[in-house]
Amino acid sequence: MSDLRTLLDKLTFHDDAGVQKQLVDQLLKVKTRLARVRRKILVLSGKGGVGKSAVTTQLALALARMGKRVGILDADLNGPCVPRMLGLGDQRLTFTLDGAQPPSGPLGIRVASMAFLLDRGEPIRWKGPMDLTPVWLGMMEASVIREFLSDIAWGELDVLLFDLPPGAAADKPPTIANLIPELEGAVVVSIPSEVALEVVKKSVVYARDLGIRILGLVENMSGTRCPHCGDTVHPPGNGAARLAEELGIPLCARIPLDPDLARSLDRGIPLPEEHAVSQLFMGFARKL
Amino acid sequence: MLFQEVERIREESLGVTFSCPTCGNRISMVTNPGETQLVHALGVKLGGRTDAPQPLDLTRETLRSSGSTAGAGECPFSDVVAGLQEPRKDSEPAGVEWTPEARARLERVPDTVRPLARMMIEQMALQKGCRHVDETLMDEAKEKFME
Repeated sequence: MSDLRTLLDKLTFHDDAGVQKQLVDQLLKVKTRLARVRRKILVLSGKGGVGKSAVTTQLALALARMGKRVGILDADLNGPCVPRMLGLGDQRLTFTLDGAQPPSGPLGIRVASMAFLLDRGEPIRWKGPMDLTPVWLGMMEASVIREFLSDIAWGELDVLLFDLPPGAAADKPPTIANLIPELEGAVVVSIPSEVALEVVKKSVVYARDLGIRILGLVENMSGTRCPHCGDTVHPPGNGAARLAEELGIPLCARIPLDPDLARSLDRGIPLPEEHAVSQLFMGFARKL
Repeated sequence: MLFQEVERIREESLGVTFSCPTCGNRISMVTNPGETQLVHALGVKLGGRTDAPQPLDLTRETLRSSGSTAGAGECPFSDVVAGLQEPRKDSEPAGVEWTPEARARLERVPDTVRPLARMMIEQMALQKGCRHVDETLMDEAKEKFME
């Protein structure tokens, strides 16, 4: 054993293949690119289908209405839907010497998404014989996110929102948290369901383990707004408020299931600023 | 050990050669398709970059275009090593011919070590002054390498 240790001590590392230097360069490129973005905020949830992308787009609109320069990085590589929600479904990235130029949506919101590299309705298909190998897929997706962070020419932004993919997300939050310099924190989205809240709680604990600050909880689909009288009927129980209290995080907004919002997202046409849902998001944005 | 060169032995397999700075001995490592693809997924080029990276080049290069079939005619590793020559075809080895029987035996070697086995057998043939690999040489190689 001692011979092996002696031998090990004598070994010296030569980065002749240039791999280590290139990996360091990649991270420096991300740092340089994101230095022009003042606030970097994740939108995540442990549960799928709770409306992360809807919350991301509406929060972006609210921030833009407050005069902020806003960008959204749609990090859901396999199910990107931010472009369609903002009426950018037919847009593509354009490539210049400065990087990939993200299309601008309503109120000048800049969006980068895998959807801009895919034909409409087409899933991601990777080249290679191991395209379905989980280890390789994980590495490839991490590299794609890293490229999106380093190569999208956002310009100067006040806020960049990262719409994360669904799931307890054992891979994406650590990948992104490690890559983003001066990440401000995460907004967590849930729905009133106790089942969803249980999963969301796990993602909050996990995010905190990674050192990600939780900025607040948003309860989406929090009741139904009556189309006749405008009143909102909430489901029984007050799970999101209880969870927020238990975890010591603010409950930033309760967003009702509103048919106008659903239509707006499907059509990619933002709700007017005076709409009740827009006002709820304005209130949320002011709290951030 | 000092990095010497990278050779694309065949599609999806690289031979990476290092040499000892003291005695000059050379060691070659052969990557299997999985290892090659993992290096590719890091977005690096073995031997260092000589060109400026283009925006999203790894993503764009690795995305399969709509309608194409899995892997058909698309080598995703062409960019792993800058300026690498085309891989040798099975039908045109480096000056060494394989008899059909020897080739059939080589095909029975597991995928992950077949490129290495092929390279070692061809080197053995060349050292013996042979320009072809037959079953007799395969037997000798088996005896030598399995010692």
